Amino acid sequence: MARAKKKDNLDDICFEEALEKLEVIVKQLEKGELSLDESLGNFAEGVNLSKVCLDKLDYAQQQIDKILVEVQGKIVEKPLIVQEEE
Amino acid sequence: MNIFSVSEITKYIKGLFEYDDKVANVLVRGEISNFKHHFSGHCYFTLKDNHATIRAVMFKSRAQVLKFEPKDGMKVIASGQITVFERDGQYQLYVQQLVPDGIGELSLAFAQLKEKLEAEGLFADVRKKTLPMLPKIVGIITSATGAVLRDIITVSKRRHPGVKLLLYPVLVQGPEAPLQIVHALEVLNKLGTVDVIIVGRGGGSIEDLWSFNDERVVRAIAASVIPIVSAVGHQTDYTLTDFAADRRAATPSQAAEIVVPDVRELIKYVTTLKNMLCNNVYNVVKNKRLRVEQSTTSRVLQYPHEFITNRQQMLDTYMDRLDKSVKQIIMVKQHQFAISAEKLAMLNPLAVLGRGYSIVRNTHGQSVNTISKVQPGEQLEIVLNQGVINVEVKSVQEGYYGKGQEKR
Repeated sequence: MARAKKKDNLDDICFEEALEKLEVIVKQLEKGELSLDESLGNFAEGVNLSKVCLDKLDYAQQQIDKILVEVQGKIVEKPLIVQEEE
Repeated sequence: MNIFSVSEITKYIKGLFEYDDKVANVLVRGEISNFKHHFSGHCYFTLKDNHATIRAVMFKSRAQVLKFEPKDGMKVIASGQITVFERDGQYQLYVQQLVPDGIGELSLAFAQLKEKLEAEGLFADVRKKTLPMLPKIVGIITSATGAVLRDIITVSKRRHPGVKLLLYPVLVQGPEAPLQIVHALEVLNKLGTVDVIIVGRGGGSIEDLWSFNDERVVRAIAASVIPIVSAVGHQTDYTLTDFAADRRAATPSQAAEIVVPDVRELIKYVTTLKNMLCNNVYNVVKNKRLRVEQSTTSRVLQYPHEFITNRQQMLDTYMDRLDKSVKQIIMVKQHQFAISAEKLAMLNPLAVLGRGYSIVRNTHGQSVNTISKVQPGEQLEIVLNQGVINVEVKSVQEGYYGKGQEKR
């Protein structure tokens, strides 16, 4: 159960974790010691992981930088506009 | 003559001190001894040289801004006012500022604080946290204006435009700076949205950078749960913040390089891994297929009859060889038997009968080979080639072999 959940939540794992797993899978397949079923299973997981990694690297959408401002004791995020040095 | 009370004369003497410009604002060089930091926060000590001592007091309000810890034996320059403490009838130096003699006050304070925090293990390598390889949000604590922020933004966007920056603006110098920096660290840690924090300011004098040597700031840096990269001053400037941070960058630009990965490089790397993955699985399948093919294309499976006929042929060959061997053995044995039989035949005493000889036997079956054993009238049998003649002995003649057979 826990395992199935883990796979479903592939999107939730962080980039580092996904990359590390991918590296391990590539190495395992390289050795060629696994059975065919295991190899194909690993391959499928590896392809998914590489997709997760590449998705996380998607930089097409530029993030809007923010500035934290305290208004009456509350912290508010506002778009960051870089001011020139006075 | 007037008679003064103790109070009156003490007050008068105090007046003398206070009307004198020289002692009202004086710098005194000397060595600290009997230093006591009273729990009230006031400091009491004496300043001395080889020939004299003077009592000194530094009240809490002044003592708490001291940037180093005075100790006995320390050579200092004290500034302040000398006046009389009426209760004790003692004149003493009311210290406004205390500066180590011979070494910059800040440098000394730096060294002392560094030693202290180092002893506490605040700078230990085991405390250092690893930075995330790919942060989603990078917190920045620095001035909202100035080159530092601009440099960090420029480098960060160049490397990975998808990484969001979150600035907590603070003053980076002056008396309010330390508390603002500490507060910013607390807020970012409490929010928990940023994956890593850059704390920085541009270069400046040691006084300008002093906020980053403030004990409160250094402790807050060390206490941060979120990894921190420090970028204070220029390449050669080291602050205690740098020691407490998880990573020190020489410049703000370098801090951005450390924190924000080059997305193109990462994409290249992941793509390489993906290609390797495909190649590897292709090789695995190819190898397995090859093994299967090798098995199915073997002659045994393709021409099973050949396998059998081969075996049959071999069987035939073995049968032939067996047959031949047996015949050979029989032939040899037969030959050996013939030779033996011939030899036996040659030795057969009966064979001589064929050549005209005969055997004489008496009635007891004993062969008679000398005449002395024969009596006339005795019944004998003569064995010839083809039968037996029963005879009776008429006479025995010694030395006579019959007609035509004279003894030679």
